[in-house]
Amino acid sequence: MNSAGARIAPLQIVNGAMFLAWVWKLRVFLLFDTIYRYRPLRVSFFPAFLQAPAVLELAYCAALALSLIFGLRSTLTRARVAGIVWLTSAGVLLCHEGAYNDATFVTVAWVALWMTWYAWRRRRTPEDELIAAPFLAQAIIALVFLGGFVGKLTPGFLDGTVFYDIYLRDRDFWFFSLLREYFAAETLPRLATGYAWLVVAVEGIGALSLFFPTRAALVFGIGVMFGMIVFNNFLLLSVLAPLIGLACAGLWLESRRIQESPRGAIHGVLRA
Amino acid sequence: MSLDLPLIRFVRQVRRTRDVGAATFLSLVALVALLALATPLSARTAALMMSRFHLRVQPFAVWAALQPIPSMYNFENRYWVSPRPLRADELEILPAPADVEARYINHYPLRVMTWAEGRAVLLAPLADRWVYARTCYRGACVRSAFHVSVQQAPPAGVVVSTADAIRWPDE
Repeated sequence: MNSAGARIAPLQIVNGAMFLAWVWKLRVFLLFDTIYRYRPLRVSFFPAFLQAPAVLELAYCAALALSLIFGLRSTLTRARVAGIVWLTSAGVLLCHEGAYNDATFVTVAWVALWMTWYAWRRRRTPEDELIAAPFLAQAIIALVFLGGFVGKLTPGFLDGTVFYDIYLRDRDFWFFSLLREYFAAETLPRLATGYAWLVVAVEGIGALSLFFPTRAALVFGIGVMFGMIVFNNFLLLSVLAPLIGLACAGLWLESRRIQESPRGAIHGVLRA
Repeated sequence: MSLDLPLIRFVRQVRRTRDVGAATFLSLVALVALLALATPLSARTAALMMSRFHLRVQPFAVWAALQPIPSMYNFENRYWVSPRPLRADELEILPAPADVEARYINHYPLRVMTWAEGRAVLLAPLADRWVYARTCYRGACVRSAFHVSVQQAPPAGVVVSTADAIRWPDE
């Protein structure tokens, strides 16, 4: 792969991941948009334009369109524009009455920031981006875990009350239905406590992954995020796909760094 | 022997190449991480973060600036949706009164009225509703109450409602 191609590949990965997140939301988004059009709710906290369904639609569609334009023909210029549009769209949606609570736009905002920074940065040395970019990917993923971790350090979470009510009581999802089927009703609160501690422990390790070797941190992050999607909620794919894409882009860059390092080059010669 | 941790490699590289963009990016991540770490240590930070969930941070620009802080499944968030105003004791009893929907929710408890999913259910009866939300963290709580009133129901099918903040019972 030539130098320009190598520069574009991580951008294609994160752009594809954010596109997947957006498309995964499409059916729900269309339904929600109809509700917002027919059941407007005036809340004085939000400026009028951030209550308008048209702003929501524009922000959603602009990111989708620019993402496609970059995906169909990937140039650095298109990546730069797409990065800015992703960032702006996520920023608008994070402040819109109809979307502010959706964690998808938090993860997209951070991944879009990484994409914009990576696309616009001036290359200083050949190995420059192979050090800074994967580490910043690692830092963003650790930050997301940290945010989840600190917010759960409270009795209602640690004793399982919250998780019991949200998940184990009646959530219609294969994993929780299976638990309800196999365990007695009085055992479920204890399971919820164990589940809460497991989540807190995993998120704590995720936060500390900032200090792990990059490859280990990113592989850990991908594994945990896939686990959350499979065992918790398939809709989480829209929240976590951008971070999984970021981790993959980071892994791709880290592999190149290792290959191009003196030790990696010796291994390459030996393999050849 | 030198440590080859990614963080150390990054700092060395940034210093060598004077990469201001990368340094600024990491500083932003560090700033957000510090805010997150301060949440369990500082009551004021925790109150700010909980107020964000209740749409009570002013001015709006400050609330907007806090929005990218990752806070999935943060705090103990509970909401109550009722067809009538509730008394303070009705917000404490378990289980909640039969005509009241009361649940824990992962984050941003007021989304029960603002987000489409909750809004569709909340406004389906086309009648007034009272929404209460409480977020607690390590002994401190932020409470919000709203009266959601149906303003008009023209034949076109568009129903405009207004959510007005009211006092939490007994406050």
